[in-house]
Amino acid sequence: MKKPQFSLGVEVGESFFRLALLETNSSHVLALEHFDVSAYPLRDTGQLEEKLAEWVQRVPEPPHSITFTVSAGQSQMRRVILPAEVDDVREYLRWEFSTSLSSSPDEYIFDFHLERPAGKGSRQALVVGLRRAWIDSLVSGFHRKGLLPTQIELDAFSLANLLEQENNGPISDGTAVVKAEREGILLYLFKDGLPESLRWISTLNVRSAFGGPSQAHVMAILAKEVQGVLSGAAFCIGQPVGTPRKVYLCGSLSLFKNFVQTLQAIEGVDLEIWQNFRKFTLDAAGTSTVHLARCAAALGAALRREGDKK
Amino acid sequence: MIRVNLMEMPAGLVVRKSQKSSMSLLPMLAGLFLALLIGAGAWYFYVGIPAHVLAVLPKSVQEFLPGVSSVQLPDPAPTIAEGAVVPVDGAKARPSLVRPRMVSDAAVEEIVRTLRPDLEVERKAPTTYRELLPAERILQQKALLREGFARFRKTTASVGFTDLAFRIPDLFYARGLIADPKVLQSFTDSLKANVAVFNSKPVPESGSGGVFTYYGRLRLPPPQVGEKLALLSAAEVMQEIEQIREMARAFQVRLTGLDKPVISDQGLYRRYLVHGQSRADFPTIARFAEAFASSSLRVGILQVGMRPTADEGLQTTFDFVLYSSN
Repeated sequence: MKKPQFSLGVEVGESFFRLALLETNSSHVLALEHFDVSAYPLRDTGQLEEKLAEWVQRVPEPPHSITFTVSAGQSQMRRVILPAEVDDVREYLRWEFSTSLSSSPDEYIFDFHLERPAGKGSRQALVVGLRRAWIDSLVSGFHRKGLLPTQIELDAFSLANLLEQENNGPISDGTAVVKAEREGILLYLFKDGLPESLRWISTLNVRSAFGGPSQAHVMAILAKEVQGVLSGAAFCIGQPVGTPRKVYLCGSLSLFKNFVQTLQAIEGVDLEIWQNFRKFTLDAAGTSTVHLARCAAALGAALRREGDKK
Repeated sequence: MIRVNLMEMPAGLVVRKSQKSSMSLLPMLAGLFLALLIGAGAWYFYVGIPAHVLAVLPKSVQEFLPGVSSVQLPDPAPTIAEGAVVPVDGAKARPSLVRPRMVSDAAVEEIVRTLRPDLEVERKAPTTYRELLPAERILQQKALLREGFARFRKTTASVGFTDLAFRIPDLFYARGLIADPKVLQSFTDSLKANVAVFNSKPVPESGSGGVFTYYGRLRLPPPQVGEKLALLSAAEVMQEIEQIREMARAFQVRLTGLDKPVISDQGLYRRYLVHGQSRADFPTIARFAEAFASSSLRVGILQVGMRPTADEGLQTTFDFVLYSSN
């Protein structure tokens, strides 16, 4: 019998962070949690560290690996098709990446994922970069070095990995994930099993209406906007139908009835609120269904293990 | 599965993830050996080498060991001096194998010698109610009752109380109405002068209309320990409760609820709470309370509360308390 491995996924949002503790061998979710903070956690690391340390003390098992997942909106992400004659992939991608930046590439920590989609000759790479300053502030700010993440990835990848795990195979083309938070709505469209298109809908102007009397109205408007952006994005990636067929909804706005109802009313869309996971068992004591839709990205991050990137 | 890693540890920073101690076998064995060595050394220093171990050691080693005198060693061939007394039973007189030990600081002999049974640990005189023993508290409780009623009884002629309560250790609460401002002033002044702590609820700017709410701490004599009261026995508890009833009857106070004491086990003693209720008028209650406070009953009181009832009567509750040995 395999020794149980406990993996912690931490989703770092603009003013919150969420945690998911997973036993990776049996896909058993031991605990889920949501914390609100007053500043961006990667900038003000003190709050993040304090709450994380306290939580890790409380959970039944200390994690063997810790993965942070940050919003793809905070990163640089490119999809690059590799020419067949490239020998040094890293070098080539670094050069390619540097040409797409307006600042020095040294200011970014850079990594990539290589894929050869079935039926296509050329290799494709997802190249991502995250500002070095944030990682430096994290490393220097954490007093408990044992709580530093072993991996940092983007929420788009965490959600893709989760989707892949749930589907038990590659993600079908045209699938979309809507991660709707109070801070903004991110839309990911998948093609060839990879995030192909990324769209951002700002909530900055309507944020003050949350919790107010006009909340229902604002939610309906936001949902309409999501619909418009989705169909536009689908068109861009060459979908025959106007909107994606399957849309997974996660994030804190998925708890708002009006928002969900308006999205559900879109014709031809199969909307699924991501609160039922087929491949995971949940610990009744540490998790509740309300948290599930919010903690999807954290759960996806918990699928990673220390040293899994060769 | 997409695997990217944007985490970059600065060079030289080694992070140990495992929370568990990962002590390897070799240092652990070395530590055990060291502990054993120190233990053996300490044993040798304080107790010495057991005789049967010493006996099997070669002579050269025995001579080498410091502090092992010939007294310790079994004499292989004791010589009997001429004229020496030989034990009657014929057993050979052999020196004791037990090494006489030096009396050290921590030796039992020393500890026993330092014990001074003549120096009894003096109990510090209690200064607060909390420091009193259960049975001693009864005196203090009765003092509260006596002082409380003495303070408020004198003024009853022109004062209408809506609430009056006394509670251990020395708390009082009084709410009522005095229509005459002069009487109210003199009542307030005399109360202020005769209690330890005086508080009042702020009076509205439009004037209170003679309604007052005063609370604070009564001035009680300091706790006494001279007269020690013994704890009651279980049988005596019922007798004492019966005597309360008798006394109430004598003062024409009808007390109900006396037959249902609430018993709680406090470990060393047992506490009986008796919740007595009466609807007698204030002067009658005051007379009974003062008589109770001066009586020799081994019953204390935790709280007395008086408040008017809907039918313009007065409802008084006495929370009597008795302590019995367990």
